[in-house]
Amino acid sequence: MKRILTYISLISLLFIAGCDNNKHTTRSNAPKPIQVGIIIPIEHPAMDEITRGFEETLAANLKQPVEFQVMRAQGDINLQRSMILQLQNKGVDLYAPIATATTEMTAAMIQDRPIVGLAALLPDSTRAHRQLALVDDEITPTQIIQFIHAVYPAKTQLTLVYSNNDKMAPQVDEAVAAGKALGIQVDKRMITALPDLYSIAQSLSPQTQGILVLKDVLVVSGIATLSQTANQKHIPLISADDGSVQNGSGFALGVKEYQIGVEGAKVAVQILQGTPAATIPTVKMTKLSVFINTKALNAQEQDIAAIEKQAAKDHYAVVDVTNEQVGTLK
Amino acid sequence: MTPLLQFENITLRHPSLERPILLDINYSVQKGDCVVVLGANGSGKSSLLKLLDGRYRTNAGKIILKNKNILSLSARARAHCIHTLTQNAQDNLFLNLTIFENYQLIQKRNKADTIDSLADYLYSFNPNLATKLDVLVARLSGGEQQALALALAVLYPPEILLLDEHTSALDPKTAEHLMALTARIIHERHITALLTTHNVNHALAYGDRILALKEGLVHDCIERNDKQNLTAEMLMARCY
Amino acid sequence: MIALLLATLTQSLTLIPLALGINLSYTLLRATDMTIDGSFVLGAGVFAQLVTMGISPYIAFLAALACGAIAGAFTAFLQNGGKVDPLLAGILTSFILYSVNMAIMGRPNINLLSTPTLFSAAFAHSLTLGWLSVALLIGLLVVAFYALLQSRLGLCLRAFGDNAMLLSRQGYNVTTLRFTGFGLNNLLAAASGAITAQIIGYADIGMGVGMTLIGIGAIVLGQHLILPFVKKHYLRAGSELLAAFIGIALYFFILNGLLRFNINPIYLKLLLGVLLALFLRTATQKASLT
Repeated sequence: MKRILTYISLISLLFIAGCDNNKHTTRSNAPKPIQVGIIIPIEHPAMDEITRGFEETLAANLKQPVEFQVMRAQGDINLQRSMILQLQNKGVDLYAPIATATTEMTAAMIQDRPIVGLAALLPDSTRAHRQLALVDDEITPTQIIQFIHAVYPAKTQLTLVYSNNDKMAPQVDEAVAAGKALGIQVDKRMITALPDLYSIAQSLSPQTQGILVLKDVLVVSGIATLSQTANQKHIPLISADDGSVQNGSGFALGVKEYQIGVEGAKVAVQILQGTPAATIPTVKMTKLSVFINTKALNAQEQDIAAIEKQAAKDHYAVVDVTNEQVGTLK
Repeated sequence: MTPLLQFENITLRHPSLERPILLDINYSVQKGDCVVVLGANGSGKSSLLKLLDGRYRTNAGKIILKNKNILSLSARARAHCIHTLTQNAQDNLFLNLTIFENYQLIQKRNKADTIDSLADYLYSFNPNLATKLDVLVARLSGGEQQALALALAVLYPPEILLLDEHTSALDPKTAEHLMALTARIIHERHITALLTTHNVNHALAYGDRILALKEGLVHDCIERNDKQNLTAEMLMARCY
Repeated sequence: MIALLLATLTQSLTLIPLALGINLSYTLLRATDMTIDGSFVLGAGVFAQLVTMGISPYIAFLAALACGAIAGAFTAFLQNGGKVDPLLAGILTSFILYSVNMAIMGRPNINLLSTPTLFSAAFAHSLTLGWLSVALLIGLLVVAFYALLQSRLGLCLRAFGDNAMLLSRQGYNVTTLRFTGFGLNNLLAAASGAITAQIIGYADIGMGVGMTLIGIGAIVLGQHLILPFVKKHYLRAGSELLAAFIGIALYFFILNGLLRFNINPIYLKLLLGVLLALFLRTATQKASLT
């Protein structure tokens, strides 16, 4: 019993000391900087990139000094709740939660401060009575199909490999419809588990002129399998995120995570300068990037120049990720 | 008069044992009998009792209780007819519940005056119990636990009370005291009891009849009338 | 300091039903029921899905409770019919529940920000009224749970945990008790999940991870602090409730406190884990002495 009481009193002492520390920092004489709280739900390089883009852009575009409080919830929702409460307690001026669920939690808990949800998509109805602005990072399958058609006007047969995730179904439908409009027949191949990928890769229709993968966690994690098939058949493997390109996909039309942060910071600047958050329409990513893997494209015997030419025409930045560190798989 | 309880050609085997635990046992018990079952360790006396309270099932033969095959009784009905006490307190009582809670679980109706009447009732078994109604059973002494177990066992007297060496974990003095108490209660309330023990003095003093088992067989039956002429030494010689 | 206490209070409040459920399984039934990780999400998911479909939040809440109870009954069924060890049965059920939850929700995350919930009207009025209405619902659950503990059923559940064998020999239907116990415990976890979803604004497929452990840690902590002072056993049910409150509050007090102390969150779980291990260790030492 004694021991327990010792623990408790020890911890309480630590807390009181900790609380005091906070007071000292806020009592400094310098002009009070704008406090921005960033909430990162889980450790992931993509999250860090978004954060970096947000911090750098906001600091550069704001006249006042700005101080960032970065909270890392490590995938624990209780911890995340505590962190948002703590940001609230510190009197943060603007919240920047990353990902949809984090944004939802922040919006549910914080009503009196603006929130910029990064890489978050919520229906407009949720923004009605809240100071909530959103940066949606999803690009549509239509955009991808249109880009493919522009690069390869002659292709009429594509195979779309996807998993049985509920999130994928509407995107797959959209891709098929978009292909139909451009005269491309999209063959749908669904996997339910990673091992399915191998048998699907072995049984592709001989007429297929390319393999397409969307932002599909399961399929992307087995991208190397599809890459081998693409190499053998000398057809392009096209995806929708940079991580899969690093791992053997030929090219992808996607969004640089850093850019999501940049867009978010622009919204934050508007809000901090007085624009009500709810009046700012959800930001869609327009500044897309074409990620290319030259090694993979060469193995698939694809014309890199044609891709780069089309990217330039569409004002997409070309990012060569061939030699970038593998591991930022999304 | 038809016997209350009848063992008919009971055989019990265990798959890992070559020799049957019990072989072809025939025995009948009349209402009000206190039968002492004697026998060396492994003679099958505990197994015989476990057949009654449902912990074991016979391989052959049947046990008739009040003209009914015991296997046809539901677990609930059997629990009402047969109550077992063993030397292990955790077989008899809920150790992490209080005396009163143990009583509540046995008791069938919620009576308003329960606490006082329970204290009075328990006082006659062991005066200490009466003041400890709110104490966890685990905190009681071994003697108190067994006295409580006996008190609760006969609260609603069962058709048959099985006492499986219920005194053997106690010190000799407490064991003596509990045995005398048990015998008094059984006789006062005309409870039919099957009792196993290693103490031949207890067997002589408190048993109406004695059944001796040896290696799963009925070795000897001593009836009420034969018992008077026996000494402890003679009984020892006959039964072991 | 007041902010710290408020943070602790609001966070503990939503997890109180969960703590009661764990109290039921861990203290009364003496089984570590891992189903809770799944039934917490189940409660949140069922509630969120039903209210998004336009069904009254009251009915949705009751449905969430019922689904939690069914999940618990399934765990009991595995233990009963399948003769699976209680711990494994719980893990197995929460494993299955992941798919079930996904099927019920239809997507990994359901947003409740603009959906009417049990508390949305109250929170729209004022924050205080919002939290009062949450506290009222929790209070109702606590009172109902206390009544259960004091009832004959509560006693039977406690006896079941202590010695199911003896209870069965005394003619009680142990199977029914097992179903009741595990059903109630998961009903409470589902209640906690449904309430949490309304407070945090969404139901998420991953929101239940580690809930059982937090709950058990908190309960052990609380009981360790409270029970030595309780000599009268008829106060046991009350003191167990108090222990659950104090344990869960202390957990969040420590969590929020450590955060305030600017501990690198990488080490936060390590620190919390070590702390819980210390409490559990002293708890078992105590137990072995008695």
